[in-house]
Amino acid sequence: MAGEYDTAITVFSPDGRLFQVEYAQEAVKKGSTAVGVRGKNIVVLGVEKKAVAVLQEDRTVRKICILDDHVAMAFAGLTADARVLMHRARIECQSHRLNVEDPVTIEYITRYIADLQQKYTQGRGRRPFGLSTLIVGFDYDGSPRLYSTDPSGTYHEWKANAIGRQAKTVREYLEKSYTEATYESNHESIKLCIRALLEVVQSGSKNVEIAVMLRHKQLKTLSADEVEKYIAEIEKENEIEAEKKKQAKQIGSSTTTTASSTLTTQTSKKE
Amino acid sequence: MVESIIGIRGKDFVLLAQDANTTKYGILNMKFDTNRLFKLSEHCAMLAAGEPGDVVQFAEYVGKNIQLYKMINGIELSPYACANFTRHEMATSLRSRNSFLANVIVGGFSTNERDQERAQLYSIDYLGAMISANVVAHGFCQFFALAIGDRLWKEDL
Repeated sequence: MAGEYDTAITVFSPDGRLFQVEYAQEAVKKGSTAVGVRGKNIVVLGVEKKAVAVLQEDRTVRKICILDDHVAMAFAGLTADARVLMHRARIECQSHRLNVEDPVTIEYITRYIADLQQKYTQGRGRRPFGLSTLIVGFDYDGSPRLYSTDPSGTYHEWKANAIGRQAKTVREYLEKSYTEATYESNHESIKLCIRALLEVVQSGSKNVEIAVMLRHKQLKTLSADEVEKYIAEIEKENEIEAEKKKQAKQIGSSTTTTASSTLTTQTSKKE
Repeated sequence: MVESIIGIRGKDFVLLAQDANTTKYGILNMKFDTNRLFKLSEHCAMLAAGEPGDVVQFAEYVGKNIQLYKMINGIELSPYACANFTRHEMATSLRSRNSFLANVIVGGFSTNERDQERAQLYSIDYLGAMISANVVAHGFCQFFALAIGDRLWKEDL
């Protein structure tokens, strides 16, 4: 049934769906995870670094890229499609500067990218872009922003979001853990981003790449050492949490043993 | 022609100078703080003089394209490359609908340590002719600046 309605993507299915767009979203779900977190004075992007072949130079796999001095983007999905979108977005950033003498707002460039993605859901013989993006940066007035687009061409603003493989799990984790403290502190924002990634990625600085942008500063990729420091801090916090839980459990179990002993005596009486 | 722009190249620096007046009808001085200097990249800049509208349009166009190159390729173009790009744009526009009546000087210090000469200075006129020299100038001041340069420029300025 679905096969009849998804070859020409300009066509809706009988129940109002665009299958090609949904298939594109499936392609996104296969891509490596990317996480974005927005703080009061910082925006953080984190991506899963998939293992590369032994002979491959791993620095050529760039999943976090700058679009302009104050805008950066991470994506999940087809890398080649991302390259094309990035190129168009970079041209638009400079074009905007040339025409109106102002840097783009993050919303503007997100809207531009989303419009591009939408255009390809309504064209003849063209498939949609198979990627979702996380776009971060600071507007001209200094406010930090995090936006996300998807293959259908919709975009939303987020406080923290994840895209790609197991994005739902990571997003749920972010919902649980994003607090006022994360928003206020740069350190906490970075830590939350790494924590969220570690939910689905093996622990270790070689499996994650974290990039950080501060107001009026350029995007900075954290070195492996810096990431290791955060991971060590996170693991220590996890240990403390685990200890606390164990102790709580022990106290809890000592009360339940007395309860069960009364239960057993009762049942034995019944017998 | 009344606007002056001058460039001087030293051993490890490039000096760009401009006057700051904008005149109209030959006798009215409209502005005392005109800016003719346009930043192309962190280590390269362009001085432009001529038809006021063309000057800004052309210089900003070149500047933003240099920035675009940096965004796409991750490195900044050397002053040599910037000058060649500028010359190309000037020459293409010349025989098209929109030509620019702007004389420019492109100068900077190359960040590439392998370059033979790292202080790079180029002059491009409105017809798209480019030269590299130790002293370059556009406008009426060139009659004075180039002559003084001939007499007084030396290697280790």
